[in-house]
Amino acid sequence: MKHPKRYAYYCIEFLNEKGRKQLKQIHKELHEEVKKIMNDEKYKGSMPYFSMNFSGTLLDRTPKETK
Amino acid sequence: MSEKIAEILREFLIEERQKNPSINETAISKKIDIPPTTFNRLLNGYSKKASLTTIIKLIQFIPELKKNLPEEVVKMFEVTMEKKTSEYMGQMLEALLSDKYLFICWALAFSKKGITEDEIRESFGEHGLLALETLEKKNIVAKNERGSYRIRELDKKITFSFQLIKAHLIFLAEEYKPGNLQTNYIQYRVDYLNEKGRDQLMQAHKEFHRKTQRIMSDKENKGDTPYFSAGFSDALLNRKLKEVK
Repeated sequence: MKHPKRYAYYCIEFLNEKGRKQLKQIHKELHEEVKKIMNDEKYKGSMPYFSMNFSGTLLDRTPKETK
Repeated sequence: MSEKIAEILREFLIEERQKNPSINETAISKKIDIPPTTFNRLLNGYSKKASLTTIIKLIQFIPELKKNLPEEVVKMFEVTMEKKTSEYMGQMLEALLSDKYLFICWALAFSKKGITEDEIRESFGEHGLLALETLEKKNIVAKNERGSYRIRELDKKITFSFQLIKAHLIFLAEEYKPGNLQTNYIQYRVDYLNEKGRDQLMQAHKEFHRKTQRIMSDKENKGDTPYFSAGFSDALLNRKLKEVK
């Protein structure tokens, strides 16, 4: 049985501030692009699709949260 | 390589025509779900390399192709399509990496900088330290002269099954909620789309993934803080588009 297409990925890398800013920027751009697609009348249909993207640093947590 | 693929495709075409003499190249490419121009270029040996997506689609119809592909590509195909991560990675490693703390420690130790006990303790507490200890005992990571833990076999390529990726995405989404951190970024949207909309959505994620890889592989962006970037897109209802028409 052929299911609707899906896409999933994650990448991990050690970055500096410049890299972090670039990463945040492309996340914002993706969000804008997804918003544009989902608001476009010509793409409206009958299948509910979701889009999720997130980023952060793996080490930036307080010890309290890990308990 | 391209000549061998062309030869196999020509044989496949002959076999298909024996079954159905009226079938043409366009119909076959449609059946395989690749553009007719791509099929034609491959058939005539004009394409020096095919994309992984094309190869995966071709293998599903022409298993013979597997024998002529590099071992890494075949393994990647098997892991992705047949969920045989354990066979490729070893059951021990797959079981280990199913644990979120072990996975995080493993991922951090994969970097050039490696990870120290202090960093793990600060962020993941005793769970993290225990995970690091387990990885060391299993000879997966080793401590270097600077006190950082790094993966022993850095040149070993790992391919995850979609199932394992999904599990980790869920973990990342749960653990790194925007409420926990100001530096985090998370976006979520849902809407009813048609096939064109779905394709646009997949394309946007694909392009975003490429950009992420470019940023992360740029030497000028390398630093000391481990960042992750993740995204996924799927239908909320796991049904065929046809069924909802």
